[in-house]
Amino acid sequence: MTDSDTTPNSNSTPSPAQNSFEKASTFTQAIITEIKKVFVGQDDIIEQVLVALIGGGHVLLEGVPGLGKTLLIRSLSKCFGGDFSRVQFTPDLMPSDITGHAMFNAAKQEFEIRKGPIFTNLLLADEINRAPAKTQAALLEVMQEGQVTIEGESFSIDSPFMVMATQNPVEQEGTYPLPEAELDRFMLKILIDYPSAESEFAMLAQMSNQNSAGNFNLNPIKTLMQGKHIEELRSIAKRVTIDDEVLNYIVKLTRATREWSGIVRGAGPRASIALMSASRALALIRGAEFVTPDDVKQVLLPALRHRILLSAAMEIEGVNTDEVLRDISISVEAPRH
Amino acid sequence: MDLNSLEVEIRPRRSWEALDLGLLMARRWFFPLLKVWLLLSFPFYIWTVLHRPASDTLPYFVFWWLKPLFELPLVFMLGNAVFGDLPTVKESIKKLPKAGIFQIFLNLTWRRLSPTRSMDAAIVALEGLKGERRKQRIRTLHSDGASPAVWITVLGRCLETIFPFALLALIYALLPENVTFEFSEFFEGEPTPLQNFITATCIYICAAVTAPFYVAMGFALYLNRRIQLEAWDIEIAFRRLMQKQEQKKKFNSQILSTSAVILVGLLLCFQITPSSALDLEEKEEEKPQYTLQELQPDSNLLEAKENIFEVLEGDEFHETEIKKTARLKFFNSDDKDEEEEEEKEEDDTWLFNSIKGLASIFGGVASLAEVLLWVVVIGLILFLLFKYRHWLSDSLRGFKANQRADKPKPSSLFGLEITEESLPEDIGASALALWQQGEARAAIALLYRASLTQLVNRGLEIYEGFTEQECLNTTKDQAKQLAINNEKIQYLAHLTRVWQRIAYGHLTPENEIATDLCQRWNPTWVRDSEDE
Repeated sequence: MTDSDTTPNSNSTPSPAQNSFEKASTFTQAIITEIKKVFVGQDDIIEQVLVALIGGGHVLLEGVPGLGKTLLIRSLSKCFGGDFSRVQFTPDLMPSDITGHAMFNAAKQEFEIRKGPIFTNLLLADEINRAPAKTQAALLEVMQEGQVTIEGESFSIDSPFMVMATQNPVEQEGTYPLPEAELDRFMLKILIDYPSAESEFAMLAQMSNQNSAGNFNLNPIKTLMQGKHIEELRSIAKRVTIDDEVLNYIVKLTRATREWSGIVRGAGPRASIALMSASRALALIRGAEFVTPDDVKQVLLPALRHRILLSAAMEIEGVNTDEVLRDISISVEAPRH
Repeated sequence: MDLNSLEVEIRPRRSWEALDLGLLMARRWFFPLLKVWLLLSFPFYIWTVLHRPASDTLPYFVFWWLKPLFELPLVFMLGNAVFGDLPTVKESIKKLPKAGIFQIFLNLTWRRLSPTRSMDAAIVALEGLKGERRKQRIRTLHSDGASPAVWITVLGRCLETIFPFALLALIYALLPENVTFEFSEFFEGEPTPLQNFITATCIYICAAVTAPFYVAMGFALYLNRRIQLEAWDIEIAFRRLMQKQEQKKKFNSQILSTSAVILVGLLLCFQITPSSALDLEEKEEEKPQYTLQELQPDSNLLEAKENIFEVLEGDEFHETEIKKTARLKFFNSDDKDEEEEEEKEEDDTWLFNSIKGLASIFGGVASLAEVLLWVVVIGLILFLLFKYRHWLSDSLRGFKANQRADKPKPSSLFGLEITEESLPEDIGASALALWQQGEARAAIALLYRASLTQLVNRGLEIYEGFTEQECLNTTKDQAKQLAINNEKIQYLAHLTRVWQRIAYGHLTPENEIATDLCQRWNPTWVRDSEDE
C-alpha cells in the first residue's frame, strides 16, 4: 500500500454519475426480483446472467435436466421487452436454419434474404451441444462481431444481442462438444446446481397456487426493460472505475492459468477482457462505482472455467477446473495500495 | 559289448513286459541253462539222497541255501547268449571263480535272503562291481521297476513248494492198481530211503526246472534297466544309420570305380588324351617332391621344437595382470572372503564345490532381486508423490500455516509493514493529522494497515490472495476464537468500505466519516490491547 496524496473531497453531494449508478443498481435489482418470482432459490445464477447481459457477453448454462435453465432464460426474456427467439438445437439442424438463407422470389424474380431466428435481441440456444460443429460454428461470427453473413452479404444484428445457450453435461451420447473457439466466445459459463431444500419447498408452494400443471406460469413477471435500457446499463457499466491495480490483478490471474501446473491450455486475452467486463457489470449490479478485487474474484470461476483445459493427470485424479481456479485465486496476490 | 549282435529286440520295456522277455529267453536257452545248473547242483542232490538218517533235513537246507551259487553261471551264460555268443557249459562254469570268492561268500551269507537276488546277481557276475560302487549301482537299477524282482522270488518260492507235492501226486496217480500204497502213508512215520529218494528227486527236479526261468527273468529285468539307463536302443539306431551310410558310400565308390575303368578303357581304345589330364600331369611335376627322409624329424626340427618350448616357458607367457574394476559393494561383499576360502579349501570334494557354486549363484540372484526390489520401492514412492502432489502441497500449505501460527508474528504481510515499529505510537492522532494535511489516502491507509496489524498480532490467518472483503469475512469467522468484539468488526467493516472506495474508486470519504474513523481507532483497538 502506498499512501499517495489525495485531496479530500469534503463535498458530500452525489455526482450525476453516482446517481446513474444507483439508478442502474436499483433497476438491475428490480429485474432480479422479477425473475426470482419464478426462478426460485438461484439468486447467484440470476445475477451472473445479468452480469453477462450488462457486460455485453453471452452465457453458457450447464446443468442436469430439470434445474430450470430454460425457465431462467424465458423469465429474462419476459422481463425484457425486446425480441426473443428460441432454437432447439438438434443433430439435423443446419447453419442456415439459424442464420437465414437466400430464397428465390418467383413473383419478384429475385433472391430475397430470409433472416433466421438469430436476428433477435435474446437468443436461446437450447441444448446447443446437440447440433454438429458446423451449425455451432454459425454462431461464431454473430457472437463476436454482432453480424451475420448470408450469401456473401453481411447483416448487422440489432443491439442488444445476447446468446444464452444451455447444455446438459450428463447425456453425452450423440452430442458434439463445443469447440474451444466457440466456448471462448461465451463470457460466462454458469453451472446450475440443485436448489436448497427451502428453495425447492418455496418453488412447490408457488406451483401449487398456480392453475397450470407442470408448466411454469410466467405471467407474474413484468416487462421492465427494453433494448435501450440494456444499452444504457452497458454504457453505465463501461464508466465503472477500474483501478490499474485491479486490472493488473486480472492480468495476473489470467496469466497464472497459463503457468499453472496441471493446466494444459490457459486462458487467452479474451478471458481478461471478459473478466474485466463482468467485474464492471457485477460492480454495477451491486451499486458500486468502482471494481474491487472481490468483484473480480466473484466472476473468476464463471469467466474462466470454460477457457482452461486441465491435464489428463488432473482429470484422472478427479480435479475439476473450479478447484484449480480457486487455488489460483488464493495463490495470486491480491492488489494492495 | 557289441550291440549289433544282440539276440533280443532292444527297446525300453515296462518291468512286467521285461519278465515276459525273461521267460522267452529261458525257453530259448533252457537246456544249456539246465545243464549248467544240474552239473553244479548234482553233487548236493546225491548227498541229499544218500544222507542218513533220511529224516534229517540238513541236506535239503544246504541245497536250498546254495542255490545262488548254482545260479551264478546261468547269469554268465545269459549275458553272453543275448549277444549271440552262447558259451558252453564248461566255459560258463569256468567263469564262476571270476566273480570272486568273497562276493560269492557274501551272496551265500547276508545277501542270501535278498528278495531282488535274481536281478542283482548280474551286477556281481557281469559287471564285477564291489563295495560302494555296487551299492550305488543297485540303487540306480532299483530306482524304477525293481518290484517285479521281489514278486518273482515270492512266486518262485511258492512254485518250488507246490510242484514237488504235485509231482508226488502225479507219481501216486500213475501207480499200478496192484500196488497197494496209501498217499498219506508217504508223509507219516520215519521216511524210508526210497521215500527220501523220491522226495529229494521231486524237489530237485522242480528246483531245476524253475531255476532257469527265475534267473532269466531277473536277468531280463536287469537288461531292461540297462537299456533304459544307457539308451541302447538309440545307440543301435545310430549304428544302423552309420551302417547304411557306409553301405551307400561303398556302393557309390564301386559304381565310380567301375565307371572310371570303363572310361579309361574307352579312352585307351580311342587313344585320346584329354588336355585336362595333361595339365594335371604338368602340375604334379611342379609340386615339390618330398622324400621319406625329408619328412622325418631331423636335428633342425628338434632344435626348433626345443626353442619353442623355451619361448613358451619364458616370462612373456607367464605374466599375470591384475585388473581392478568398480563393482557394487553389496554384489561382491563376500568375494574376497570367498576367494580366500577357495584358496584354503582347494582340496574340497566336488560335492562341496557344487554346493558352494549353487550358493554363489543363488546369492547373486538374491542380490539382483534385492536391487530390483529397491528400484520398485523407490519407483512406488515417486509415483505416490507424483500422484498425490496436490494433496501434499495442500497439506504442506496447511502445515506452514500452522507453523506460522506458532512462529513469531511476521513483520510484513502483503507487502505491508505490520510491525509495531513501522506504525506511529498514536495511530488515531497520526491518521487525523494526515487527513487534516490533505493526505486522505495516506490517512485511511494508515488506519487500515494498523487495523490489520492488530488482527495479525492476535493470530488472524490471512493468505496472500485474500482481498479486503475476504480479510473482513475471515475476521468475522474467527472473531470468537481471536476474541474480537462486535465493535471492532463493525469498525473494520466500515473502514474496509471507506478504504475500498478511496483505493479502487478514487472516492474520497466525507470529512465526518474520515474524522470519525481516526478518532475511533484508538478506543476501538488500543483499549483492549492495554487491558490485555
